[in-house]
Amino acid sequence: MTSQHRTDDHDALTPRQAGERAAEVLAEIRTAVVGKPRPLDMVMLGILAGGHVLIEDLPGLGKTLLARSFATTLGLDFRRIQFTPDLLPSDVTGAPFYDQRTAEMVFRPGPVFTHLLLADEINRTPPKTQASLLEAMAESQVSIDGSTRPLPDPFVVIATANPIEYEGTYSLPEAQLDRFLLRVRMGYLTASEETGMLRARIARAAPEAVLRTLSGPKEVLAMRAAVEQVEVEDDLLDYVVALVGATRTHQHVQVGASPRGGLALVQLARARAVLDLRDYATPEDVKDVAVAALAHRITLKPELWVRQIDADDVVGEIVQSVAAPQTLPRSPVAS
Amino acid sequence: MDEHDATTGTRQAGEHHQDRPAAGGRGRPGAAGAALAVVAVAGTALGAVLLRPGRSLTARSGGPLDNSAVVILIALGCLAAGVLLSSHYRSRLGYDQNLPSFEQRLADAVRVTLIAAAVVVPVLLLSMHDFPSGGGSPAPEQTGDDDFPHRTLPPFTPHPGSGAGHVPSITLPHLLVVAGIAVLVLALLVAGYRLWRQLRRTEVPPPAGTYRPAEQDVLADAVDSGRRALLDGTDARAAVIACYAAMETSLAHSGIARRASDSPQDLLARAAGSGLLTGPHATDLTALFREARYSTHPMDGTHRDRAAAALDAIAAQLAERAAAADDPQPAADDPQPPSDTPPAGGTGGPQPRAGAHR
Repeated sequence: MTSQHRTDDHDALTPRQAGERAAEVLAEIRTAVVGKPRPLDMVMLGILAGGHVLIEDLPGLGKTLLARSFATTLGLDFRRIQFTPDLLPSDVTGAPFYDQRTAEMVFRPGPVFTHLLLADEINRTPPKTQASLLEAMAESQVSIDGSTRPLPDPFVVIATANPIEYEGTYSLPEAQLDRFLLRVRMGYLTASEETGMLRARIARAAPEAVLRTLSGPKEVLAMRAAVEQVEVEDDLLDYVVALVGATRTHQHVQVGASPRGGLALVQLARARAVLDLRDYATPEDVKDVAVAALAHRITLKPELWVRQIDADDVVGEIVQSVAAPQTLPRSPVAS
Repeated sequence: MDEHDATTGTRQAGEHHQDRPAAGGRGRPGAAGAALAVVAVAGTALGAVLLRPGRSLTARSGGPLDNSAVVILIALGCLAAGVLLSSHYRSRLGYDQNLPSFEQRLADAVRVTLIAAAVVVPVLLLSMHDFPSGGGSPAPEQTGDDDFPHRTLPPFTPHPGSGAGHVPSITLPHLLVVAGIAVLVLALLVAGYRLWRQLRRTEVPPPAGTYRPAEQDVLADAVDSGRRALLDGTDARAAVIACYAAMETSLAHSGIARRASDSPQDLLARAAGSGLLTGPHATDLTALFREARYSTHPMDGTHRDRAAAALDAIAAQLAERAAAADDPQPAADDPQPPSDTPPAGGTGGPQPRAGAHR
């Protein structure tokens, strides 16, 4: 396979090389997912930063197609769980069963043992089942019957949730939302993009586009390692802390972002720098990912529901008000 | 030098206001207000110094208002100033009669008040003044001040022409008072002159043939500052950062200030929002700054050269646009003297030239 060959050749990638590989993957996915450059970029940032992605939007906007396209192009093992009210934790993590031939209890892995897991409509299952998945997300391992089994590496969860329906759904608690590195909204296509999507469907004469596999698990890990090489200047860290702190003191916010939000913001900014072929993060990177990284981590005051103000608006306002790093560095830097 | 600065400042102010269709040809309101405030404060202080009692706070009178001639002159001055002010106010309102009812009533009230004040103030001033009945100089006894022993000394006869009982000695407080009065008079004259200039400039409409976008001068200044920073810098990283900082400072001084939450890209996008900085050069310079500011990998002369090249390209772009903007100027009918219509890049600020920093 082409991807396997490339992976063997590139055990270690520089941020620029990783960014170029990621750009190739994104270009391939764009042939299948039409007119969604921003959500595609954000999901790629989440994968590069080593986190899990929550896609929150209405049905039929291409969430499942997006997740499957990433799995195919990145060469990752892909499983999907359709969350329903009667789903049990063992249906997610797997369970031991009695093998009559060997007369032993044998563990049968659940769908969580994969590289890329699509958790479709995660808010349709009870909290107990949600928690089983979220524990796996946080620890990258599953503990069943006293034994701990590690999950494959990389392990990425792309969960989807419908933000409109309330009947028969179980909203994710804030503590569990915090486990997602970022939240992405798809949004509707413009009229021209929608026309292009229909025309592409007619042209290929098949329900879905066939994507090439351009990468593999090892290369994804190498790209993640390249993100760790991205520098973050001290003033920029102060800026991140100020942004997170501002979510805790904002007048509309009841519970602000956790320190985990600051970590997510830094990692996403570094991944954003890699996508721009840089080995240093800038304030533009932080501002670009702030809403996606922080908005789902804050709880607004209840009265704001009436005023149609959502967390994205509040974080956007915070980004526009918190002072960015000054032009001159606090300490002189040498070439 | 002051004349030149004031002319330049007013020209730029006029250009700024040309961007706003509702604004007229007004000068800088801040400078006029400051000059007016100095005139008011210095005038009041000067009046207070001149009218001080001199002998004691409980004295009945003192200062120059003891002199009837001065009182009459002040009264005549008030009358003339009131008449002039009233006529000026009427002339300003003369072409704008379509005022709302409330503003019309207010304008009528001000007009009547000005006319009345022009008459009433001199009359009150004259009627309240205590003119001497005999026509001679006021007698020392009229002050009722018996605490001064020299006034009761009969053997001493004053000099016929002096009018005082003794030769006044010049002491340090006297010198300080005189110096203070001189400073106040000087401040009053300077502020009055500047106020007069400001008020006169508001009546001169800006010539149509000299219109240039204000942002163009702003960015030309910024490019020049950045070029100086490149020349001064010894370290490539520091030079690139200083270059961008100088541009940012120039932009801030010229009205495009960096907001606290702005990233470099935000500021440049706003400065180039008018389309003056098209092309990749401004983006390249911003990218260089970000690399110099937020990375630690080595930077060398190549980066400095790239910054210089970007600055050159920006400067050339601005110069080209300035030339294009000045092309229709000879064809335009320009009745203004040359001092009020400086050519582009002349006294209006540094004109960028490609390759000047090398």
